[in-house]
Amino acid sequence: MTDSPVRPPTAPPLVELRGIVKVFPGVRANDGVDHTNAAGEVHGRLGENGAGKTTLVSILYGLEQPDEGTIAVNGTAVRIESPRQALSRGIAIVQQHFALVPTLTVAENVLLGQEGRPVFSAARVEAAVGALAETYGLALDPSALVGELSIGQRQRVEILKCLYREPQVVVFDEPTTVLIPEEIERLFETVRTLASEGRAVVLITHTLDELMAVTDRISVLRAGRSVGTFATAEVDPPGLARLMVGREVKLRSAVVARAEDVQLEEHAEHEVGDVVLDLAGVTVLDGSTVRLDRIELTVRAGEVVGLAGVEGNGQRELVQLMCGTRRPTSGTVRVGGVDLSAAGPLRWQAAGVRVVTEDRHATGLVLDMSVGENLVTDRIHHRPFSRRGLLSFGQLLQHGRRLMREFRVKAPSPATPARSLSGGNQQRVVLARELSADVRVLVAAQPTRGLDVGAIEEVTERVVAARDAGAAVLLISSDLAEILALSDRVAVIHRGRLLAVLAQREATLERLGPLLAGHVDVAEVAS
Amino acid sequence: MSAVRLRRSLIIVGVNGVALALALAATAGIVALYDKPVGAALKALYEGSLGSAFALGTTLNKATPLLFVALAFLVAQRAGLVSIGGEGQLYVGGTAAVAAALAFDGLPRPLGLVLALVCGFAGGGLWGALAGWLRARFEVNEVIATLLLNFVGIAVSNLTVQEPSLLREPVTDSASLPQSPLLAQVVRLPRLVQDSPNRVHLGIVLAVLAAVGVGVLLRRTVAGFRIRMLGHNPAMAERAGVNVAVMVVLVMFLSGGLAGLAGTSVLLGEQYRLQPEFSPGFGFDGIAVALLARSTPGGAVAAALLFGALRAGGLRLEAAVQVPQALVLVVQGVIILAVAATAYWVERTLRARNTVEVAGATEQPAMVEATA
Repeated sequence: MTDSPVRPPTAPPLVELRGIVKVFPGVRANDGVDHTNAAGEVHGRLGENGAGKTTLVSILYGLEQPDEGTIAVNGTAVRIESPRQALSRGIAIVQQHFALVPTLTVAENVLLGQEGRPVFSAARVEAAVGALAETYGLALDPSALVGELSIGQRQRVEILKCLYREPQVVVFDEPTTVLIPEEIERLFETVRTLASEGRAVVLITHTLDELMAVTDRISVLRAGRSVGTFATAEVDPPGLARLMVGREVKLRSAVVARAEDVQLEEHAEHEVGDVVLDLAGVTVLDGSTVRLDRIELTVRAGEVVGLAGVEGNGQRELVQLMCGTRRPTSGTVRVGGVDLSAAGPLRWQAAGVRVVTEDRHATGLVLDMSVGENLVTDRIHHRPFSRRGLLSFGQLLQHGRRLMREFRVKAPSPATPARSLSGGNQQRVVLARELSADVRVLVAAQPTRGLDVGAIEEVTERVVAARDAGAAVLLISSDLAEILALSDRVAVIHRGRLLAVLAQREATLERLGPLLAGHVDVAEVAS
Repeated sequence: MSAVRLRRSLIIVGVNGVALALALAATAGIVALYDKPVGAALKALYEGSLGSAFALGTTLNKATPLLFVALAFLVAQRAGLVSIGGEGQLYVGGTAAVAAALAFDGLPRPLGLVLALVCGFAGGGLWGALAGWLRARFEVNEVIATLLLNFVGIAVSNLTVQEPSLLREPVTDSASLPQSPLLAQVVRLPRLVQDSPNRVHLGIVLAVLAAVGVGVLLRRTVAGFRIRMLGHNPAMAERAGVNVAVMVVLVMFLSGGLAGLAGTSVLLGEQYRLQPEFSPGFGFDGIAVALLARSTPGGAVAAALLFGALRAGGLRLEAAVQVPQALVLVVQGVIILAVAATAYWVERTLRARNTVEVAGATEQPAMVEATA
């Protein structure tokens, strides 16, 4: 693989970002990022969650202001302070999350925000939108209601909205995550058409094969930094994948490294028991969208199985499944041999399945209730916390104090609202609740996200302790370092499918990198 | 901790007092604009609400339905539901209570009255539960469902007194009004003070008991815990095993039932018969009471008494000083605005102070690029 960055084309780039720095409290989301896009060029941006891709796009589109760095369009330095200004400079974006009005027609949605004058002819607009759609092969009926369209068709409406403004630069932010394969193929045809007309296209994705298929150049972002720009023809997927996740392992905190050492030492020692968690052919559909696709996975007692994958590839649905708040469309989930596919949350909990969800604010805590109350949300109806439907305040307080001490939750008292705690302490509350019950299966999703080093260490220790106590642990994380440090086996999920389940010693970066990016062939060839 | 809480309560009481004084000052200003004597107006307000045994009774009787509706609103609100269907539930509940009272007035005291109260609660409750079921089953927004069911509920109630085969008293001549027969003594809510111009009836006691009950339910029971959890974070409530659909229907039943008791107390305690359009908008004013009380049962008692007093005083105001009674509505509005504004100010100040007190325990920055 070539390590030397390709020189920018000789023509002045249509858009040029230099030395972009954007600091959010505690994070350097962009740290000296460059980006150039010549007319007629498709420039792909590859990176993991939190690598800084979306921040870069937000800056280009005027949603965020860079702390340092310059933006030039057509060779002229500009400031882009709002999406309106971005649009007026010919920069348009097809966003990951659609902003469409379902009760309006395709044509009306396209027109929205650029009506120009108070009275217009619906027929004329529909004709114009229809012609535009035809030019770019975006098969759409301009008079159809958006609410009745499929996801792929809605994305085409978003693209039309962009094109209606005659942009010079079109940014696609993770456009393929919601699409089925043939829709992706059609999208790429549109992308190529746009480039052939002399527009500059920025394509943001974490799926490697897609970048290889459609881009001219690829830049890799990691932890807010550009780690290289390459001509697509000169790079190979495994090399890029390695670069994407690459040195992260060396850069990661000493804490996780230590945990890994401990883990390696113990690997031979801890015993693995019977299969406790058993997913067989589990499929979850959301309307027609496939969230989980025939998942086959087992976790044994005393074993940590890491589920690696870029976020949004079905992890959330898997967690909901384990909470009992979502049922599989088909397939079965067994815990200790008991089929829980149709069970509600209380039966899952009774079976000893404890879940640390990926978003503690949304599904881990009730922020407006007290710490003490949050420690009993799942067991309030049991003694000693209540008797005959009446709460036992003394017991609640005592229980709260005990768990706060045991799990080192720093808060003035159990009566403190959970909202006023730091992220680390909030996570300790979640862990205290989940781990103070009977744990047969522990599902920990992104358990260390947003935490400081000390809290990460503590959470890691708790997970290991649960494993040592004989729990079957399913660790769901987009942080490869965390996965590698703790897992006995590593499964990789992409677009709701398990691409591989590897034993710890097989789970090397060379194998995992391409898998994370949905690139199966290379991994199979290698094995 | 309790010292902090005490200080906080004192601040809130003080602030509300100031807000009330401001509102009264505004009223005085408006009276002055009418070119009427301000002193006489305030005196009339006082005399009409607290100045005599009769006035006191009127105040308490006016406060009763307001308190029931306020409790109805705040129970739903704690579960994250906005119910503005108090008026319709009040009509349906009141109508059911009168129907039961007419049917059971032969039973020994107090059986007929108890049955009438139960039917009043159940009637309003079912009307509320209907909106809850629409929400739980078909995702119909409860604001819209409760609002529209108001019109239906009022119409149903009116129909029963228009229709001789239902509750209308026998038509003797062409001049007889569409109304139900007068209720027998045994099924009326008894007066608390016998042979006195003070006409206060048992309703206010029931309403205060209901306030205590709602307070206990929300603060001290498992059901209340789950209601609050549902209101603050439905996803967590679901995870904790709360059947959200069932809970929504039950809470709306309770809410509607409380509103139904508002209508019941008016009909069984004051009017003694069902007539069309018997409520002057208690079902909406009660919502204002709940807002003023910031959705606490204790606050609702105080706010309902205040609004009841204004209502009672307003009657006298009109008679004594020839100022339109509607002025009282303006005063109510000004009070709500003044209290809401001061409450917001206090909240902000206390929060700012709290943040300093719990320094080091502040929120971490939200994850950047969580979806990148």
